Amino acid sequence: MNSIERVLGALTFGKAGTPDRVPVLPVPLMQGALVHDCTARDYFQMPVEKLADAQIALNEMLDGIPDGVAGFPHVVEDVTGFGVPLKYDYENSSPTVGGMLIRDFADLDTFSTPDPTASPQLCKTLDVIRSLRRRIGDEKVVIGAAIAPFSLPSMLMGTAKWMRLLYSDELRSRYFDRVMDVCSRFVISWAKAQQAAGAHVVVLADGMASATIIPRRMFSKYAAPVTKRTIAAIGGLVAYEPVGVIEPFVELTGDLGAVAILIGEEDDIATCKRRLGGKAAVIGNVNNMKMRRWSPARVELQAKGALKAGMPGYGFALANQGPEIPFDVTPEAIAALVRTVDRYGRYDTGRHARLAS
Amino acid sequence: MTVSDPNNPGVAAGGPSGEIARDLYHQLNYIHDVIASSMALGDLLHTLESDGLDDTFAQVDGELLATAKEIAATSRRTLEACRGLVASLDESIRAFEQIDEKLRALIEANKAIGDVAETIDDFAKQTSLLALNARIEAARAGEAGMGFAVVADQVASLARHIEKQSMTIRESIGDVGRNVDDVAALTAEEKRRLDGHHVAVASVVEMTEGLGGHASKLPEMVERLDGFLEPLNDARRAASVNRMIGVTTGNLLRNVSRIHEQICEPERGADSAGGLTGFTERMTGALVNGANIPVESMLNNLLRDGAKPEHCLTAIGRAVEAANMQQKRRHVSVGDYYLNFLLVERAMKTVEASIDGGLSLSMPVVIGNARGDYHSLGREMVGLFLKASGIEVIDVGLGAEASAFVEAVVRSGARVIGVSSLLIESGKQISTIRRLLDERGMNDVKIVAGGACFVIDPDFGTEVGADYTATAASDMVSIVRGVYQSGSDRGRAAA
Repeated sequence: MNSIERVLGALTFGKAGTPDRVPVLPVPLMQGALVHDCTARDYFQMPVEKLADAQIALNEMLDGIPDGVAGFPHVVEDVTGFGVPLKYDYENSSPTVGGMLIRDFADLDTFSTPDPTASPQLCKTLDVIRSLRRRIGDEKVVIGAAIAPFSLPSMLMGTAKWMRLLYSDELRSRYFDRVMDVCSRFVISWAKAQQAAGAHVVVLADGMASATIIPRRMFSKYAAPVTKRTIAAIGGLVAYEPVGVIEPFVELTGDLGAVAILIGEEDDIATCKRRLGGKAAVIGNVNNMKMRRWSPARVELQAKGALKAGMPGYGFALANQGPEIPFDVTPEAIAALVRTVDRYGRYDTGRHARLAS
Repeated sequence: MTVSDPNNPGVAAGGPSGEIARDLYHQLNYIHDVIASSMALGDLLHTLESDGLDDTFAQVDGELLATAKEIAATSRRTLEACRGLVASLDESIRAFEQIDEKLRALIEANKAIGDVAETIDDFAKQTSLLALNARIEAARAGEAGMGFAVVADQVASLARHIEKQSMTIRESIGDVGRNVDDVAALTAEEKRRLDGHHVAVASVVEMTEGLGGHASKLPEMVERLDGFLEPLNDARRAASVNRMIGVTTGNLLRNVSRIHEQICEPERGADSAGGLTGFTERMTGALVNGANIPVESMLNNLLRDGAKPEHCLTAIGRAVEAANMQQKRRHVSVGDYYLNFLLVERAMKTVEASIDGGLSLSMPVVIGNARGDYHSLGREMVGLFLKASGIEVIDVGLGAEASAFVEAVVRSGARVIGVSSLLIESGKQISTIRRLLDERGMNDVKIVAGGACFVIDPDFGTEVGADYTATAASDMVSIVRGVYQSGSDRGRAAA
């Protein structure tokens, strides 16, 4: 059974075939620098083939166990589609937004949807996806990513300004629909471009939509409708990551049309699965920050706990919580995560039954 | 549950009635503190109760007993298995000892064969010499010795053959000897290994017996554990009573606070909203429930009725702190806090507009987003909540270098720094700030870490050298008050 079959089987609760084991989808992005023995900053700016080489090498370093490779260097790059540059403040950290596109609410009057393929940075990512797909074929899942429409404005105007717009009746009634329309169109065309380039699944990262950031009523009224429309328009396999706690209203994410929900480290896997009621699978949720300090044995323990909660009835893939694994998580800790799944996450040996008992 | 501002100028200016009012005020505040502590204790006990600690105890009891039984059963099975293993090892050791004996006999026999071969070899050499002598004698005998010479040649040939065979026998004996030595060495090694296994298994037997003994004590320990349940039940009953006391004393305090306001603030007069206390209560409720209240008109009414702007500010600050205390007990999103921020912002604007020359603030605090961090929301909320609580804020802004925080401390004399960060590398800037502070001998300046990376991993703050981690924007107020309060306590103690 290859990774594509395994992931499809697991995420469809066995409807697309019985998975032999739980899929494991760690997201090492900056770790590509380790492959090329350079800083993360230099790695992000390497040519296409070097980025693809690193993803494949990382997968091989982990004994080929991970079921996917990331076609995107870092999701923050989406802002370059709007002409916003990236900034690298540290050698081994992800890039940040180099400036704000919307400095004043009046700027929203002329806010319009750009063509993502006009950004050299995003074109490079499309080339990385093409390269990975060409080299991996349909053996492993090629993962694409985009910032969800509800969160994209926070990257273009700042979180404080976006919150002010959301919580001001006057500003919201004047701008919200327009901003969502512009952002949704961008996300749809960007995600579709990634699919066309070869991404098997696109993850929509919605950092502003978790229960950590907004209350249930705001998710239901403002975040969910635009997300649902966007996912429907993208088509294909889309996973949804609220990047934070989602358990308090996880059942609302089941109606978004996403094949899987990436939950937060505080969320209870079994509870989320139960509340989703089979409408979407669960992916998660080993604490990526704590992995920095955890020994391989501790990671194994944590991963076993996640497997125990997530394995029954399929519909689960193990992954780190958050958008990526921090740079200073040791390769041994990442290896422990994937090897635990290989050893204890098998449906075909009855091992999971012992783990669950 | 709130009381009015202790620094009310109406008290000092009120003559004897002012003195009485001040005493009464202090006594009320004392009652307030006692009740607050009592309520906090009640809350704690309530939390213990709602956390199902006794259920946990019961569950632990059951699990311990089950585990004890399991350990005892496993110990028995292990002992049986070990004893079988020991018997088997004993047999193997005895077998090896017998092999060893046989090998020694074989070595001796081989040596004896070697001796025989050497004797045969000697015989062959002597026979060969004898045959040579016979040939010499036959030659001397001439024609008559010809037949004897043939016999001598045959004897010489036989002697050479015997010598050759003897050499082969000796070589074979040597090979057998070496092989036997090897087998003997291997046998000795295996025996030593078996002896070691024997000792190890004997230890396992001993440990298992010990484990069985400990397991038998577990039920007794469970009984002792059950003993803890009794005080917990008492505590639960106390919590229930305490909550009733809390409600009653809360009502009492509200009434005496109103009386206090009338005595201490005669110049302000009463208003329909119940004065500053009523405002604080209503504001607290709005903050907790995310409700929209006409805060501008409420404050303008108070100001018009004679309330001092600084008292209004104190009332707003108390509402923020009271709401924070309540909100910490349940899941609250950043958005919920942002609603609070917006309400407090409106209240602050109203109060500031009534003050000439700006607010009078104390307890300076430096806040900022660390280098590489451009997420201003948390910092802006923290800044406003601090200001609303009468705390002076020195904001070094977005993406601030470590040195900027330290320079701001030097300029302002602040004793607290608040560092906000979403990303790990930016969060690590705290260790640089700590180092710079230490280099300047400012070891007593406290650093508070806030932001996503510190919430996801609460130990990250400690890792990078922070003294506190704020999990919500409004946490900073109580942390700052605590730092300055502990400092003044130290000062008083030193004096």
